Amino acid sequence: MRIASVGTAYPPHRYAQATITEALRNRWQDRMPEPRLINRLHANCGVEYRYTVFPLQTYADLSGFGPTNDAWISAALDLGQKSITSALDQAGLTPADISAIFFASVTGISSPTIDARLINRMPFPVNIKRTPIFGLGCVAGAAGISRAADYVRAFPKQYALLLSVELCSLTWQDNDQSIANLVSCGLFGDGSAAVVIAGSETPLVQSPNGHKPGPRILDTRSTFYHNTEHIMGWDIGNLGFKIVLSPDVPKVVHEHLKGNVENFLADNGLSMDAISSYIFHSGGPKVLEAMETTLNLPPDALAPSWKSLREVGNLSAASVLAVLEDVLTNSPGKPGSYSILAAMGPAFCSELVLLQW
Amino acid sequence: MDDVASRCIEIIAKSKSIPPESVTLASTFDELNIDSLDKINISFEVEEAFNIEIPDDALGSLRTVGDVVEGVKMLQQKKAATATGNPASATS
Repeated sequence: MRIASVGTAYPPHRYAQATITEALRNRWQDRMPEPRLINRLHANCGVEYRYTVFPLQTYADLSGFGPTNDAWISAALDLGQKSITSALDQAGLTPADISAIFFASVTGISSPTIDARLINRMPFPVNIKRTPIFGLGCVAGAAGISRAADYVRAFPKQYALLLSVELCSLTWQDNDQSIANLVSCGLFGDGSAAVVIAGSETPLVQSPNGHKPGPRILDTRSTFYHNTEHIMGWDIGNLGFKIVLSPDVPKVVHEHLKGNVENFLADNGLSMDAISSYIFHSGGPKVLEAMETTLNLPPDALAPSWKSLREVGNLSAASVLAVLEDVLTNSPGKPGSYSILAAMGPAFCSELVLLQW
Repeated sequence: MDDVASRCIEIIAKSKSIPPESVTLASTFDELNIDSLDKINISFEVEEAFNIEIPDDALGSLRTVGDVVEGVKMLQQKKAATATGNPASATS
């Protein structure tokens, strides 16, 4: 099985980080004991630009969970359709070729889910199998690839599609000037990504006809860290999603990631020396630094992740997929070389995917 | 140790409620268990103590107490040069 293609889509409004900071500072000026704090926090998030689903001036008019979530549904459909179309076009496929769709998001909810609503918009088969995933947060990009890979391992003649849409700007909370919310509002951006995963007996893998498929998925590994619920997540209330974000995230990375990666590779007869590139979720500067340090990575090993963080911010589940798209396009591995795709997220937990080009 | 260094160490030690004697110019923020938020709070204290303005994006590159002291001295020079109408001297 292979990653056949990745497509991303972003909302129409793109702002410099300082512009977003200024808008939020003006909006919350009277609520913050130290307004300079937001400037300093945002300036050190490693983010230079972000997309937002609405113009900045519109957010002040969005209040309450219902209207905000309705806005999420509407925008998620448009953005999701665009990224799916991009991914399918690149693979030379149509919605009719897809047998299973996995939809991951943590920034809004709906039933029927976004994947179902897209089936009404796009000509997917009526027998398509749907797996909406809510709550995995940032890890869902990697975990979604893993679950789609599980699917095509079972059905090697089929194609699976992973879609992630994250509209993090719709979780900004006017009534929360905690450090966690100020950091969250400086770090997370809006975006969408779709990935086509092709079974090993699909025409795309067996006779690509000019299409250059991406890397093979060799193995995946989920790891759950007990009793770390406080590290990251949402407190869900009347006003929607309130961020839970502990400063201990880098500590968790230091404690667990190296052992997870080494054990995973050892089970595949490999060691860190065999890995030629790293496709890591752009969690934030402290998380990326912790990953670099604990894995003793060479300089610039995580350059695509840092670049994605700078250009679009942390897109939650979609981030690692955006990094994957960049690597597929600009720095694909040499034939036979190995890469690790990785993300961590609420639980706390990690997901590793071993790729071979 | 000069006055700037002494004052910076005093501010940093106070922020973590540790004795100033346990802080040296070579002490890293990791060693002192100083996280991003601590750094921001320290930056506000340092600004007030030395009457300088630290650029918002300057904190990411600070790793040691010595980095803070060097940064303060550079900003003091820059401020002095601007006051005398010769900004170029601040970068020389």
